[in-house]
Amino acid sequence: MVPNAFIRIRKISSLLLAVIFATSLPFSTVQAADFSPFGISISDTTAKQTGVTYTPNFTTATTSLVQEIDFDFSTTSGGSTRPAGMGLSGTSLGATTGLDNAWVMDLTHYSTGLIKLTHTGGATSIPSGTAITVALPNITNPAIRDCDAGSTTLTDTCYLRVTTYSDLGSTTVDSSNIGFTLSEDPYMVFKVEAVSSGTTTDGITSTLSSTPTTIDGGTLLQDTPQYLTQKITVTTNAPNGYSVYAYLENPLTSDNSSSIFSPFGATNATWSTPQLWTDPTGSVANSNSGWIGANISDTGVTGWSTTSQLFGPISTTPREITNSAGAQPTGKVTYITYGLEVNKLQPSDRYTGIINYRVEARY
Amino acid sequence: MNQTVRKFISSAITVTTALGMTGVSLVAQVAHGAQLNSAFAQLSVIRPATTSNHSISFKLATSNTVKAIKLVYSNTASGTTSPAHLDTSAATLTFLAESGGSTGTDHHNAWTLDKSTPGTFLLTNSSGVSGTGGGPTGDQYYITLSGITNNDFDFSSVAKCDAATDSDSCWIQIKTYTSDTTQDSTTLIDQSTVTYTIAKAVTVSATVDPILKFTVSAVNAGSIVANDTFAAQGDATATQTTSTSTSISFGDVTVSKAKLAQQGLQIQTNANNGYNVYQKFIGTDALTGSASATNNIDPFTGTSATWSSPKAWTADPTGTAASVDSGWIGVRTSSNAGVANFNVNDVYGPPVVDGAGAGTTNPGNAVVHSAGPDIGTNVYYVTYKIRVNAFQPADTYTGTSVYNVVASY
Repeated sequence: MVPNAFIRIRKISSLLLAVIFATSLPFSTVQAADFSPFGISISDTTAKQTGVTYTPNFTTATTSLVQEIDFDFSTTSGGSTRPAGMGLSGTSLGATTGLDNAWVMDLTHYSTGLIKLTHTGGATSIPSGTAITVALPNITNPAIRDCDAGSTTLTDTCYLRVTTYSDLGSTTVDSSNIGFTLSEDPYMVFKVEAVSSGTTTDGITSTLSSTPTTIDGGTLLQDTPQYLTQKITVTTNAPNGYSVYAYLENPLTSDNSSSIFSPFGATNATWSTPQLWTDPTGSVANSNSGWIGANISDTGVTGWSTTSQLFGPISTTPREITNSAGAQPTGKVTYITYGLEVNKLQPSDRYTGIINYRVEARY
Repeated sequence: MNQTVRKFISSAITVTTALGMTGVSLVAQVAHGAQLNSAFAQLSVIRPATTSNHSISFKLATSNTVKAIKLVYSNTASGTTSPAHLDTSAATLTFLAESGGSTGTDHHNAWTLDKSTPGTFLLTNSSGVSGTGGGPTGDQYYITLSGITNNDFDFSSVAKCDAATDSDSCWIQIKTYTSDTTQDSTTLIDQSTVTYTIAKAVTVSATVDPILKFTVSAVNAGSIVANDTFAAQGDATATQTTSTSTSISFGDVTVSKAKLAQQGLQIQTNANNGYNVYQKFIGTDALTGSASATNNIDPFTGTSATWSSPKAWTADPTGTAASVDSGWIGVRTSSNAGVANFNVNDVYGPPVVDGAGAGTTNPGNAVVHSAGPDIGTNVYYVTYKIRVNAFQPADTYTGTSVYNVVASY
């Protein structure tokens, strides 16, 4: 929940246009008046929040008999499409002011966003300037982008139209639209999980098990690759998505000398042009005599649209291993498989390195 | 918490007045706290409890003069409690561009950093910077604060920001203000909250076991081997006898006629500091007569040859008494073997003769040397040359040549 967030009330351009158009019409045209003032109180503006009470407050502009009051929630101002995630079926008529006790709720049309109050004793007179509040409890808020699918922030504005009728929904007395803004706290959960040996991802079967914090290639046999996989899950509502990068802090280096593994260097292999795994081709020690590379299963990364069995170099240069252009509220899974191999020239020793995953969410 | 709708007559009020006869009333949004756009945080180092540079970027939503920017690190999206073990006390402002993002013009010297509240940075500029809003098209700020010690979560007493085990995503609340002296709802321009993630490092490791393979191979008679030509010496231009991996049989040796034989050596090792292959004869003499133990053939010492100063060998042994330099056996190694001074054709040195046997501290002469690993495909040729003069007793001579391979890891 965002404390002290202001509920947006938007004047709708379409309404403006309608008004401008109306001025060119003869004065004899029947024109519904706007409530003034007109507002709405929402107990919790967090998107998707359940059990929320909406309390429209509106002051009548016209003295008239009123038999029906409509509350129409929609994705656009004046529209008739209910925000997809907005739950209205559980609401009821809560506390009211400015109305007598003869009003009852009709939820027949809730699926379209329409809630009706009807006066059981037929039309009743309501003077102009009557301040009315109607509590509508137990509503589920829409989700972000239910109303503005193109929203690039963690806010979304949906709309309520309140209309009074002198009869059962045919003759409008007063009517106004109001926008209300919902928001969502940003969240990001980045999870790295172990993958057991023998697991096949992206056409590659892991030969050893990983842990969330270790890629232990064990004892490498010359010209025999070892493959280890990690499962990466990113769950976020970042509206502009995210990128995750992997990089070595330093080259994979031997404990007792400066011997190193080189980034996977098969012919034409770059991160954006991954290639099938091959034995290290170096003819001198420490220069392509040992390789570390990685396969990623995310086809959205540049150059990885066809990822099966391909590898790119892992080095101190950050490499994008997964991304998303938008939110991933249910979590996006990517597998990264590291390949390690040496040829006969790689000096014997214990080699270690540190891989970091850098996560950048875009809000 | 109830959210109260606030409305006011905006610039559209002129329209309202003009159209008042229609009964239309206009409403508009109070323009406080619009959402910054394209906001993100980048960490130079993402490991917990590690010093890192934090860069925060955002695009202005609202056109206004920005005089203050507040960054609040928190362990909840809207709270004010800093993530555990986050240390901002040593942070410095090292970059600030009010437009153009990370490639914009740096004006960080025009801004003052207040870090007196742990986990909170207040950047102020009393002159203010006029900014253009517009969300995705607004001016893009890029701020770098260096020297922040990342928060840490690997303690049982620490409340993490999220539920992940090996990472933690916490929040930075970003707000811009019109005042450098007062930061509250009345001076608030835009705001947004972003996440940043720290994660444990992944340790990559592997062990490469030492390997050492040594192969002695036969060389056929008549071979002229690459890297070791046999220039005409009046006695031989190529090997005269076929060796095996364990024997070199010169056959009958004619006075004043040298004979040559070779063996091929191959070494495969990943010893980081390379290796040496040593050769020596073990026994009292290099070669000893079978009929009489006093008959022997000595190491080649013509023209004062030593192993480090091998010499060309074109003449008979110089001895004038039987078994005293009346017969010589010399050794050379091919020029690709990495042994000094054998890059000259046809030079030979005297082999070591070790009467103490194979297991002594005298390894012999290095016939192959490598400073690093060897893939094992190269063949190094050791050539044995024998020549006797007329004083050499007739006999059948035998000796034992051994190779010692010493790898250095």
